[in-house]
Amino acid sequence: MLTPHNLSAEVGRLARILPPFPRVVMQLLEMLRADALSLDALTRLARNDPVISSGILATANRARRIHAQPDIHDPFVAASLIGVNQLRRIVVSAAMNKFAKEEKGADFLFDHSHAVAIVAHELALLCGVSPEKAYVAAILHDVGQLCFHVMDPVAFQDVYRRSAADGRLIEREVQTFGVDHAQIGGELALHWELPEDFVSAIRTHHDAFVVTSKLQAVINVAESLARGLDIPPSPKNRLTQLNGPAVAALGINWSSAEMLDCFGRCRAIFHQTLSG
Amino acid sequence: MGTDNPNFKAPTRSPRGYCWTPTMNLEPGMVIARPVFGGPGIRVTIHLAVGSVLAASTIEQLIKKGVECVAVVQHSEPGDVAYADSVSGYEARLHEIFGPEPDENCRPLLDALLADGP
Repeated sequence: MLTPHNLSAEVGRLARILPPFPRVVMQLLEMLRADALSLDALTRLARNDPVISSGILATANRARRIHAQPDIHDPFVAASLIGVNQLRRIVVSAAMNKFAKEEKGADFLFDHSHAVAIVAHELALLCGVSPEKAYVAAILHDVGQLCFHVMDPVAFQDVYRRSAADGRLIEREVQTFGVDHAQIGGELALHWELPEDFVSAIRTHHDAFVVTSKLQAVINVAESLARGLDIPPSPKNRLTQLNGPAVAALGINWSSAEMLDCFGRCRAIFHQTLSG
Repeated sequence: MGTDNPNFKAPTRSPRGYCWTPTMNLEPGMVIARPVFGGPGIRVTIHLAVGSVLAASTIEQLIKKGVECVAVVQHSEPGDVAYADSVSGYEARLHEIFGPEPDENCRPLLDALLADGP
């Protein structure tokens, strides 16, 4: 059983059996830290990975085929056609997809993490937070669930399945593993030496009162809003509490025209991502 | 409006008279309902005012510029049964998600989502 005292040591041990954290995401984080994210830099990073490169080409060519244009084969040309936002999304999604696919049965993480990432990106645009950072932090926010899956897949699937009915995931995780997925995910992020605001965003994404930074507030509220918007549609989506201080810190007015547009944009972008 | 695109999903209709539609699902003839912007990192050299009618070439430009979705005009007809059904299904689903007694922080979000429509 995990405790606050043995958590750090146990996560260190766990990190050795988890798939390696995608190097491409760490490089992307470095670019974000240095404010060096550009279409060229991102494409240079992406072209070294065959999965990511083919994702970029496929996205660009899908758009071209709609208009009966011939396929292109150069990732730089493809990247210039799809733009930096979509390129960044492909890089992070493909890398994280590959990361969790190495753990059989861990694909449950994806649709929800992508939905939260899209919502976080859109909220960040409205709230003066880097949308790029928000997207990456949101993709990682549930990485603690992957830890439980690796520790004991049968027990975790049981917790996950039973919680779908009543939304008491956190409570059952603590009963079964000793800590919840936000705590262990935060510890893993610390072990991976991710930026402090990422660690905090992962650790407190279910907290109903804590605000440590605007990025953390965006991830926390995005996690709730994705469930409120029912993306992805899931019987597990329940929203019984919302972090009021985080909503206030971001200056969110739910009934404003900008926020109603944000709802629509999140739904549309998520559906576009799914059909991709 | 007919379509040959097998991936086309009919956009949902909003009480505000427009809906956000993935750029890949746009069709010529649709009318812009909100000004188009591309977000940070994207140099948008195409500006579409409210009321512009989309042409195939404009849609292609939007895709090239990385614009991910666009608000297009979508009015529901009076007595549209399918739309009324989708509204009641949407509201029932929201009440399921938020539970019978949403707390004081959740209530404004629920109200906004109900007002926004499916």
